[in-house]
Amino acid sequence: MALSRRTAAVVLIVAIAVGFLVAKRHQIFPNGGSRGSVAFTAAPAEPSHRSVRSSVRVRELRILGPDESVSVWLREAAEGSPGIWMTNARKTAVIEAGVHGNGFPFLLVSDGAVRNFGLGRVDGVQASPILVFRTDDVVRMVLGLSMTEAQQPPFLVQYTADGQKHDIIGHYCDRPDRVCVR
Amino acid sequence: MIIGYAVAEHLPWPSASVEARSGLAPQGDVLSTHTLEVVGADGRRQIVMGTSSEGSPGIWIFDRNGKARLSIGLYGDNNASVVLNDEREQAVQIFRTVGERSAPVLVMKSQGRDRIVMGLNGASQDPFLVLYGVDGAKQSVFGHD
Repeated sequence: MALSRRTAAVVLIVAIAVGFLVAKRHQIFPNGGSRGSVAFTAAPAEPSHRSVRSSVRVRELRILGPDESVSVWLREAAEGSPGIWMTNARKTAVIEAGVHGNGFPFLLVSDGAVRNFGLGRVDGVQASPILVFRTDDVVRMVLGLSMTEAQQPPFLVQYTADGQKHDIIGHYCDRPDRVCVR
Repeated sequence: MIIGYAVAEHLPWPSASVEARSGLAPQGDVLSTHTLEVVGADGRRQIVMGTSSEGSPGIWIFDRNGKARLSIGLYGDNNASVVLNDEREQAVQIFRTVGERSAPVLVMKSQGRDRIVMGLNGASQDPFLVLYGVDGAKQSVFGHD
């Protein structure tokens, strides 16, 4: 009799546990699918209630992730120029946008090791727009308007893996001092 | 089993899903405002997040002279844009989407004129690269805008 009571108790506990697992199966055993990628691009949900301030002025704004690490940062950089910096939870990608100390704006998209794979900026005394594609810190392609010629003709240049330069359209002055003799 | 199911229905479970983490934050964690300004040590505005004259959201970043040199936001027709400006606030580089199909387009400008336009054509979504001379003469490298 004692044995059957113990058996009944075990059966009852197992039954409760199975019922619990059935109810929570989606949380305990999530299926992969595409839910992650959809949620990654989704904006945060709106709060149900909010009190709206007409204006907020700050010296620095940090938006924190679930682990309290900084995911978005708006602030004045060391050289006294403003910038926005944002990263993902795993710190494998970075977006930076801002204005350099010399007034030139920039937009930078990088991987976790800050090896830029795309960069848009305004460069040179003529404020020429350029788009730079880099990999592993090496420039592989540049599209833009000339920084050295008065009429700012377009150029498109690519670099091979061993650093050979090929002008596809126009001419790109890739000297750091932007002084080129043709 | 029914008891376990009923208990589970009322018991929260710590989920590690991205949806849960990106969901509704507690009220105290949300700051709502019409305009947010980041100001420098001298009180000068450096970054503004707010609503444009078209009623769409935007972020503007300013240089030392108070000129907007970079803006990120939406146009009135809901297309997205990133714009880099010169010191006179004239656009020189624009990454944006265009039209109802949100075709991606990159525009580079000089003296207010388009000189390079690259992207996908709105109707066919075919790629194109078009150059313009200083006199406005158009040269299609491939495709057409």
